Amino acid sequence: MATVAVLLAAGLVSWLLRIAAITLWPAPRLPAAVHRVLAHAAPAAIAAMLGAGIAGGAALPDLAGRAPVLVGALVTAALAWWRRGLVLPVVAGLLAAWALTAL
Amino acid sequence: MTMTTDTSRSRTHRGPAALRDVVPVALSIAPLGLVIGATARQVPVPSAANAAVAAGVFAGAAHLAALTALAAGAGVLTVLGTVALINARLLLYSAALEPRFRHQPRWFRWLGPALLIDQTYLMVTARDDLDDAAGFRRYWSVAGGALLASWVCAVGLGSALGPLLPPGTPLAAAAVVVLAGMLAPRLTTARPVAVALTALLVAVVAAPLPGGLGVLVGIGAGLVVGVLLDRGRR
Repeated sequence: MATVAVLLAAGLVSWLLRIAAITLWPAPRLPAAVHRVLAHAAPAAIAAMLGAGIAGGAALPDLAGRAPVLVGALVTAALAWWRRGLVLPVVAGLLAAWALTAL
Repeated sequence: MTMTTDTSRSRTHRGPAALRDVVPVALSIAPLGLVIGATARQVPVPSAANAAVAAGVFAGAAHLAALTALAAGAGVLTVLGTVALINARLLLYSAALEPRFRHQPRWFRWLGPALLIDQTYLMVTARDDLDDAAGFRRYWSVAGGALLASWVCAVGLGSALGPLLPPGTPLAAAAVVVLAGMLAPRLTTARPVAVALTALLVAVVAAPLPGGLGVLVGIGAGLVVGVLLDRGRR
């Protein structure tokens, strides 16, 4: 129940961000400084989540066990960067992770 | 009179046009919805609740990040902070679309932006026939509503199919590879690469920190590098 409440709160945060510059404080242009910081927010947040996912809560010396996930992520990232799509790279990355896990 | 009829016909055509535009987009985001649905069952979040969350968050990366963070035992502030940062781009989109919402009815200014995602933003900015308020409202409602419905269906299907996957399926890797697939296309110049690499490496090193603090530390480090690189450029 607490988990669902947190996720619903995440929905509320997302909605507030959506209406912020339209309904709450109509602002066709945000300050340049805000623009610059926000431009870095998405790559930083997704990369940090990716790092946490690769580590899986393990400390650096124990990361060898996370090799399948790391390889899967690398395969997906390389293909997604090259092809600009998501479906094929994700399938390829999952197959790579699955193959390494099965070995 | 003719002009009014033409305008009226043009407006009614926005609905079918929106549906035509939305089909390939819905197909492209469906796999992510399936992964999110399957991941939610591992956290675990009940299917119905996750469908409600999918409609509320309506942002794949943020939804997935929230689930991953919760699975890793992150605290409430970490989860909400991460969601806010990943979705911060919505603030930029809403600022860019504010002129289109300015002359809309009050109810639409409150509810319409709930359909704002990368895809709907790109769809409306790619069209040059949405200048009138009613036409924009119709297109936005149909396209965004159809995308939202297909998204919730995909997440629901993932929740239903997740438990049926055979043992040994690397579902834990699914969330990670999807995040990798979402990150890579953003790395077009040296600056986002530096920001992302810093955030990723710091998050890996800080992973053992309690409450998912490592994620926030990683994000903070990435932002600092980004701001420093911006200053160095000026």
